[in-house]
Amino acid sequence: MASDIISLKDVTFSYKGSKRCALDGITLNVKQGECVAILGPTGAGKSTLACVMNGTAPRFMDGSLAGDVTVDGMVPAKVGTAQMASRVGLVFGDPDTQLFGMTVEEDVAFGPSNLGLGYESIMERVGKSMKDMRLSGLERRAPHRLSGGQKQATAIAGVYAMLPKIMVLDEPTSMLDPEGKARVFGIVRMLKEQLGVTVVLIEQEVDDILNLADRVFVMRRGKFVLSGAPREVFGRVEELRQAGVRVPQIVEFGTLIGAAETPFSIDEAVSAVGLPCSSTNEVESRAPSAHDGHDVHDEQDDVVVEAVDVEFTYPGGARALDGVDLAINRGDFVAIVGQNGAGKTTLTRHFNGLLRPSSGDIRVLGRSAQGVPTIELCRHVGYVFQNPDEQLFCTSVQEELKFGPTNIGADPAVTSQRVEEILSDIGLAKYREVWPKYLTKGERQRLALASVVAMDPDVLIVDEPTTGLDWVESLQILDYLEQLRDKHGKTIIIITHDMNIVSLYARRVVVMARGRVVGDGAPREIFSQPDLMELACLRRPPIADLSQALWGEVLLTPAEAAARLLAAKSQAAGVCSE
Amino acid sequence: MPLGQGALGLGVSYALALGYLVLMWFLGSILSRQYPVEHRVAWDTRTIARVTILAAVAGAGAMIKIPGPATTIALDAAAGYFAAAFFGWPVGATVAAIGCFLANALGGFASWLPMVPIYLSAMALTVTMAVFVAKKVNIVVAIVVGTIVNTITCLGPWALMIGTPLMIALLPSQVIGSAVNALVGLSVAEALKAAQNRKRPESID
Amino acid sequence: MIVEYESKSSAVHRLDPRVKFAWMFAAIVISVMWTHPVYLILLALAVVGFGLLAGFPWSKIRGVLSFMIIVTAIITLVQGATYVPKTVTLDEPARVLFHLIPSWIPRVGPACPIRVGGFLYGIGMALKVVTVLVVVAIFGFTTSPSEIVQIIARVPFMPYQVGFVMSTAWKFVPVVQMQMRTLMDAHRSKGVDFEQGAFSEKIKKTSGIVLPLFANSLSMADTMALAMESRAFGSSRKFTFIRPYRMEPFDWVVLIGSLGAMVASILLLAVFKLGAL
Repeated sequence: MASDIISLKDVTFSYKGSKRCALDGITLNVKQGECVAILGPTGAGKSTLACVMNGTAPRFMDGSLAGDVTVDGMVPAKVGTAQMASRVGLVFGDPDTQLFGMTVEEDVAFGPSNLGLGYESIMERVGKSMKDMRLSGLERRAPHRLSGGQKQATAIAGVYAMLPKIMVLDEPTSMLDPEGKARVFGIVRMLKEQLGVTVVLIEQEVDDILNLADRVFVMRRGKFVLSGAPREVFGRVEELRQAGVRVPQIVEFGTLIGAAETPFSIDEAVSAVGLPCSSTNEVESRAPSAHDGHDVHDEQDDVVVEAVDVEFTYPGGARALDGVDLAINRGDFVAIVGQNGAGKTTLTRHFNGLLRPSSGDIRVLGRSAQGVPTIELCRHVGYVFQNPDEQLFCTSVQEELKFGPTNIGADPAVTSQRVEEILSDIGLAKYREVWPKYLTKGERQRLALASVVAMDPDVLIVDEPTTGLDWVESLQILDYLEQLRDKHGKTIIIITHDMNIVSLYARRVVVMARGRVVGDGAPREIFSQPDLMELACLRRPPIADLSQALWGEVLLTPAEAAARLLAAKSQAAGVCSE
Repeated sequence: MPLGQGALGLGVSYALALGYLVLMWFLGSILSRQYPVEHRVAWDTRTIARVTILAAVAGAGAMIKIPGPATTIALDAAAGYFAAAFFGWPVGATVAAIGCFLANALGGFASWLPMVPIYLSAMALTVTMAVFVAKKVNIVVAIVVGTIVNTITCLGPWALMIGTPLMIALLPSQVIGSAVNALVGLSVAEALKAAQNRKRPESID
Repeated sequence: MIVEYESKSSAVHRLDPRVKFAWMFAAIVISVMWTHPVYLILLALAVVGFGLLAGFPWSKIRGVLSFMIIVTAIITLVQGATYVPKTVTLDEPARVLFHLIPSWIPRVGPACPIRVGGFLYGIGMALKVVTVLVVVAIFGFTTSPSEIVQIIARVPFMPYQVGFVMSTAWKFVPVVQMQMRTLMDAHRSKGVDFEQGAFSEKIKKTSGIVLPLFANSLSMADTMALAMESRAFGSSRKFTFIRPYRMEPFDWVVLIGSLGAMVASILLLAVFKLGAL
């Protein structure tokens, strides 16, 4: 086809020194102005595909490429960096490593400056790009002072200033909070609809892709396993699951109720419910009412960590906590949610003494933490940081797990045994001698968590455990946490932006905004308060919206909603037959 | 005692700094010739990115303070040693020099701006000399040599300008600081090289 | 930099940083060459005038200055006592001005004669030290560190890659610092106490931060290089800086004034020995 701007035919790529093909016979044709989404688990070869499109693989990444690649009439591997860079713009997930200027303006100009263009034409491009990406007014700001969403918008503006016809975005939202995600998806929509750029979007956020992409490809182990229009692809629930891609909730619900036509939006789902069901599917529900018994009240006397009227002001003068009262009970699974800057991390860092309240008190296991150092508190309260790379210090998996217990003087024999147990629990037993850096991000995240678990604390605080992970990896982490709670009686506190995770695992949700606790209750209760959700800039899962629309009550999972529907139907059928 | 030689001293120091660079170049070219795999560097984008990040690490390292016996010790030079041992002397010398500049800039050029160029060349020479010795003898001797060379090259110019007494006063903290940086930089490089040679997950599956 | 940079809008702050650099350079060169106290006082006054124009916070260097005055007083006396310079302006450089140990002290006095030549030479030295100190302080007060990095980054004939490394590394320092802080917090959360233990143990604990820091910087560098490639880094010999400094008339005045004064003083010193003691 003449209008194909990207044409890949039977493309194979393997990295130097690796036996496995990162890309294994990929064929892809993209028309000018199309928006194509590529889904798939980590390690499926998505990023390699992106690099093949602008020639950085194999020009920059050592490896061997086979097959035909034509992008905008060029063979990327054969033309120079400059030529490819002004045809195909590549944006990555981590905003920090792709910002180069001392100011936003300089950063946006970086690409054109590299091309050696004249000052006037660079400034013209910078001005336009910044205006298009809604960055006007930030010209002189230092990039590291921007919010995550603004940083990523700057990175996109910088690539866009090269005036590429094609933009390849490699998980551009993976490090962002919901607000930043929304901003980036807004930009992608604009690139596609107003600026006429051909977009290849590599993403994990299925709910957003559904209404954005023209075509969707699902990758697994270097191959496309599914492709087609979003509605076709997302309708294939079983194959999606096998490929390790999260099924959009509304779609899952549609499948569960056996709708004749798969619904993709809430409206469609509502009308699908109205239609007679084509089959009577047996619904295997994931214990729909498991999280109803929000049993805080029964265990109130066994508080493990508690904040009493805690205020905290950073040395710079920014007030981060403004009178927080919060008690966490033993054995609970608590999710702390809220916008970035709401004080979630600041609060939880008080519980193991990394931060000390400006006023108020922190109590750990009933005793004031005042004057108790972190190295003492860490025996009771384990803290897992957001980025696994910032908390893995050793050169083998095994050493990593022994690091904490050794520091707190745990019995070596007990430690060895515990480490063995943990290794098999997290499925890394065979990698005990491996350098953690060589593990995948999901494995590193599990290891980071396990390295804290190895110290056997009563409470585990886990800061954004699923950032940058795919759906399967996220579930592995959360399942492990749930196992720790159920089997070992640990108290789990997670900080998260992912409402799907909240609805699946949390028993109690604490909503924070502007340094205060503004909401506290079971997920169901929290999701039933639209004002609260808006105040904290949260978006509840689609299934909650749907169940609200259908029955005026909030349900948490598609399975639960489907069960509710079937119950209602059989009741109605019973009424009719009488 | 003609103290007025401060000015002249600065001039001589600049000449000395040039000498440092020449010596560095000399040792470096021996390394590049004899160990081309480790010490011949292509200045491609990847190398430039490495230099950038490691220079930033050196700058930030200036703010790690280890309370030591004489003074607190900043880890501003460790990145240079590390880079030289890990990526070859050209990268190491560049990281050491630029890192030293950034550390000074971040400290507000407290140790006197006109001296900075001399420090830069001194650091570049020191790390090159250290990896040279590490390659020819062993890492322990390299740390000792690195410490001595760093102390002499950094304090020598001061001695020329303001006399030996002040230099002797500065000596202990300089020696300890140099030694700790050499030790940390070179030993971490060894540790990371060993880690890199560990089995990869693919080979286990 | 003795006095930290402050963002202000004084005439000096608004000067092109390269011009300020030239001014500093010229002032240091002149102060190094001249040895005559009277000339050095003139130079010091000129520098002070510049400082007043910049709204320099004099009170902030009071501490350093008073310390320097003690040091320079000692220098002056030591020079006066120990050194007789070759001089072109003094008839009797070896004439004794006074004795450090006056004659009314029995047995020892008079002793330690302070001679005119050495004394004046010492005063000149003291003035030089103070002047250079103030010059560097004014430069630091009016020029942001990022501007300094920019000046270095744009030295003519230097490959722009060097400038890129400097300014980008500068930008990256806060990012690395954040990472360092997290690494330390993560160590504390796993029971590492940085304050406790012998010196060697502290070094070992600190290496624990350095190892992951370096390891992370390797992977960060790879991602960054990929992003640079994608923005055509290194594809052209020319790199267009987008903050071209615009030289205003006042910039030219200061630049020509500074460099002119420097050249003139070199010539006058060489030919007429003006400025020499």
